[in-house]
Formats: sequence, C-alpha cells, structure tokens
Amino acid sequence: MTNKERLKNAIEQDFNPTNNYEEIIKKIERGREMKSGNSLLKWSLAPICLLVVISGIIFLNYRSDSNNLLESKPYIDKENNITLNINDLSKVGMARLDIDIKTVNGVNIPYPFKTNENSNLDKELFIIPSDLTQTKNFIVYTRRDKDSKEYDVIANYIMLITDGNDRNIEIKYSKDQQPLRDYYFSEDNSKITIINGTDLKIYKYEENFYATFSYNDYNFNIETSNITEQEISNYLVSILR
Amino acid sequence: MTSQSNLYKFNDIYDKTHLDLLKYVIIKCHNVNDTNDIIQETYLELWNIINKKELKNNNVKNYLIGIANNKIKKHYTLLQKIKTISIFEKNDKDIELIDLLEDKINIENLVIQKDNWLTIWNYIKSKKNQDIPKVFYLYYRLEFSLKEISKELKVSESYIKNLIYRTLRELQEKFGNGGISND
Repeated sequence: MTNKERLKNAIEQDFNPTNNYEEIIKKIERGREMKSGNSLLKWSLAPICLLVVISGIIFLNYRSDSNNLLESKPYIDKENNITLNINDLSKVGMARLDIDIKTVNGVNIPYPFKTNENSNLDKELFIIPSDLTQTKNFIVYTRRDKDSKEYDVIANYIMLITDGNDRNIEIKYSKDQQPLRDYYFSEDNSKITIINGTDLKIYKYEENFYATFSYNDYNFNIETSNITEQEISNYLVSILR
Repeated sequence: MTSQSNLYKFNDIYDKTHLDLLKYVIIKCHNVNDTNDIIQETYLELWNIINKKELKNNNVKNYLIGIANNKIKKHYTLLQKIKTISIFEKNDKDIELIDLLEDKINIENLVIQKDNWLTIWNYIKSKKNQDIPKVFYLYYRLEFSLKEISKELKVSESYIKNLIYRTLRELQEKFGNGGISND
C-alpha cells in the first residue's frame, strides 16, 4: 500500500459515512426517548388536569345551582300569556368556541317550519321586528375527521334574519345533531319554558338571547343580537305553532 | 407518512448526498475538526424537516447545502472566525521556488511507519492554517487536481503547491525515517 493510500484510508476513517450515520440515528433515538419522556410527563399530568377540570365543573354547577336558577327572573309575555324562564348566563359565564368549519352562503336550504316554505319573512305568519327585512341562508360544513382535507359533512343550516346591521335573529337547525354554536355554556339545571307544548331552554347573555329546542323533527338553536325580550318572545311564539 | 417510510427516505437522501455534503462542509468550515458535528447537525435538521413536510427530491441536495450553510454560520462565533483567518506565510519567492520543484512534491518520498497515518492526519487537521487539511483532503482523498482545488478554495495553484510541499517536508521531519514524533 502506498503512502497516498494510507493517508486516504486515514481520512476516510475520520470522515466515515457509516460512523456519522450511526451517530445521527443515535441522536434521533435520543430525541424520541426525550419526546417519550415528555409524553410520560404529559400523561402523568393528565389526571391532575382532569381533577382540576372536574373541580371546575362541580364549582360551575354549584354556581349554576345557586345563581343561574335562583336569581334569574321570569319574563312575562302578557300578550301571549306565556312566562319565559330566561336563564341568566352573566353569572355563570360562557366561552367562545373556535370551530373548524366552512360556511357556504346564498344556497337553498330545507325549510324547518310547519308553515309554507319561503314565508319566513311573512309578517302575518311570523312576528318579526319590522326593521328586520333581509334574509340570508347558509350551510355549515365540517370535516369528516381531523385528517380529512374536505369540508363535506353538513353540520347544520342557518337562516339569518337581519336589519343589515347589528340586529339579527340567527336560526340554526339540523335534523341529525345539535347545531354548532359559537359559544359554550352549561345547560345543566336550566329552567325550561314551554310554548305550545314545545320545551325550550332560553338564555340571556348581555344583549344576546339563545334558545334551544326541538321542533318539527329539527334541532334548533336560535341566537339573537340586539333583540328585546318582547321581540324574541313574539318570534318564538309565532314559529312554535 | 409513517416514521419508517420517513427513515427509508432519509437513508436514501443520506446515501446520495453524504459525499457532496462532506466536501462542502470541509471547504466551508473554519475548522476541519468540526466537520462531523456539522454534518450530523445538518442531517438531524433534515430528519426533523422530513417528519414535518413533504420534500421534493429534485432539489434536496441544494436544500441540504442550505441547511449546512446555516449550521456552519451558527457553529462559529465571530471571535472564532477571526482567529481562524489564515496568516500563512505567502512568500512569493518561496512559491516561485515550489513551482520549479513541482515534480518533487511526492508523498511517496516520505519514509513513515505505516500505522502512523491516522496520527499524521490528526496532526494535519490540527494546523492553525486550516487550508492545509482542506487541501490534503481534496488532493489525497478526492484526488482533485491542483486546478480544481484552486477553484474550490479560491486560491492560487502556487499557494496550494506551497502548502503541500511545506507540509510534506514538515511531516518528514516530524514523523519520518520510521520514527515516531517526540511531540
């Protein structure tokens, strides 16, 4: 072997691809073990978090029991001889939900009421504030699962009645499931209102009302903004025939 | 993509790019002794990227060179960069002399114990002028011509000859005659 070959061998021995590869793999494995260790730590923290969440729920329920039911005042709708039990959410709080959805507007959607289709702005059929003159329709889509790229599962339909500004009645409905809400709040121990044999749960938070009920084989969730108690009462009575 | 299929892809890229990346890092780094660390850091970064997103095969080598370039920049502090700037004695008269002695630049003239070459290579790598191990790597390992080395390192051919000649002479003095260095 020549000196040149011996030097070449020495250099190859120093910058050896196999040795480097083995070192890289070792470091990758070490990284995985650290991740695994982290996930062990994560899972060991899970019961603690769960305990905190359960405690929070119990605490919220306690608050719900003591505040939501006891302190909320019924709204008397003398015109229709109905007492609305409005659950006050200002003391129990609510959380805005960041939902992964796709909304398509300007589409035909099923009509959920027992009255004639396309009559949702008919003032004789529905008691709607006179300034709410516009309607818009939407379909809300979600993904089949978190790995899916397509938003191809219909979550619910939305019928929006609006003054074109900040006064809105948003009627969300779905046959198969509860319509998706933008907000979360606990419905436990909520007081029920009955209108024409239909059970409703009505909530108030600041200038917004939320009404949940099932009617005509649909699950409804009505959200309003800047609508008065009298106006929401009149509208609910008019649709729940 | 599963971790196993990512590993197959990583192995494929490693096999295809390791030599090119090694050459790039040796040429660009400030100290050849850091080469293996930088190579490993570069491929580890690639591994993390492969696990996060799809890589296009057609530009993976350039992509890897880009990662290596960043690793080299991060590896050295400004002080280290200043310290390793070559102050090697570029004596024009000496270079002219070496040009005349080109035929005498021959590693085979060295009489050195055969099992001393790893020590010799480590000695070459320890030189303050890091152009020396770079030139030796390109000349003896990759068998580049003086012209090719000149292009890669952006130095004159005479300078390269000078480095080789001086270093071989030094090696002969230090490790030659079958003896072992006293250092």
